[in-house]
Amino acid sequence: MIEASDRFAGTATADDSTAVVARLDFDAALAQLPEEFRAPVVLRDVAGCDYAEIGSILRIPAGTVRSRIARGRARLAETMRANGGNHHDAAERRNDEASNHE
Amino acid sequence: MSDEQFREDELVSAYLDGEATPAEIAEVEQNDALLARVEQLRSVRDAVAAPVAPMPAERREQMIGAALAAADAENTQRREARIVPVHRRRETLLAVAAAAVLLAAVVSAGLIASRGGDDEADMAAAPTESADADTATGDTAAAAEAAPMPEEEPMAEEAAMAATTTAAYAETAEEEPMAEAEAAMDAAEAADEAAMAELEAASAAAEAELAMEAPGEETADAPTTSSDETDGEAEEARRTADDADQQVVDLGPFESLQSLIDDIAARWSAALEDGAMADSGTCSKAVHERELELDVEAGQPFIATVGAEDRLAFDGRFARRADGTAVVVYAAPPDCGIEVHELPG
Repeated sequence: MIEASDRFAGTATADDSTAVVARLDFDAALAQLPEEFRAPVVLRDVAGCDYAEIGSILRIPAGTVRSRIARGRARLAETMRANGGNHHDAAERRNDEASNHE
Repeated sequence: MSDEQFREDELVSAYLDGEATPAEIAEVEQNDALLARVEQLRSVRDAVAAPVAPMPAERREQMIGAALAAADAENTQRREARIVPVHRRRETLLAVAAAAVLLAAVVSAGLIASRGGDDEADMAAAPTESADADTATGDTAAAAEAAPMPEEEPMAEEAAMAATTTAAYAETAEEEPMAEAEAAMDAAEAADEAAMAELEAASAAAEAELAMEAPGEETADAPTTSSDETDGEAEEARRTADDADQQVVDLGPFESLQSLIDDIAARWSAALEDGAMADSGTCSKAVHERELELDVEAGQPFIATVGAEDRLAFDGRFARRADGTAVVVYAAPPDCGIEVHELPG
């Protein structure tokens, strides 16, 4: 099995490779999150919905939204910790790049 | 994770999102451990929310080329890994088949000899009738060897062998010697038939396996239509049926999955503006069912929202088929009908 890190080795700068691999890993971790946790996390952090809006969209109480977001983030934090914090570095780099583009 | 940790994570997560009450905010800000957890979950939130900056075109082409080269190398490795064991398996199957034939021949020879010695076997086995019935098998052989017929000892041994074979196959130790001989014949015939059936099954399995795992190899006994060809035809027929049943829109090349999602969201918005209503739960279920029907290799789910005031969430599946083409499946209003977008590989 050829790993993602092998696919990109030597073809771009180390930073690019690390960022791409970290992004792929994080997307994979997000995809593996059970849908009941993934949906509220994405609606909150990507779509910017508040808890009441998410509850309305998913037809669940706001308290359940709060609980599911917390659990989803906790699981993703575990994954990030297991991967040595690459996601955190990659996220910071992407934020910086996005700011520069703006 | 304990209940207390869950409660703390809820507290911290709500604090991070600005959804905590004043009392909860005070509780977090007075606790260093909770503040540390805030930073951990903040990095998670940033990772989820971070936009993906566009990559320079030249660098993107380099990386795509490297990925394709790596994929080619991986496919070559897989082909080699698949071919080598086929030859080994073929040799193993031949050895098993030869052993089965030899076993059948030995059993048949023993039984033919036992038929010729029926009378002698009866005479030799006669003493066993007065022996303990529970130990008939062993005693029959022993009595046969001890029978007072020194000039015909080989025949007595054959009779003993037949009696032992009878017990092994039919387990009728308490039957009379004649019945034992008949049972031995029946058992031998059954054994022969079973051996032949096993041989035929092994041969058929070997042919099928060779046809499946080495479609490119030309073999003298290969079937005219291989399993791969059948699978390919079935796949083609299924795709044709898919295309006939579903609306297929060729979007042409796309730059990113996000741009594709945006396009789909725009289509939803347009449908909703026309007054169409949709049940997102029903649509989600339809997407899941469609994913199974397509039998794609790995569906990547995505969620998007439509509408500014009365938001509506829908999900779909982005997947890449085994042949390299990609497909996006999502349900569209007003009736949650499935739409499939074929995308270039």
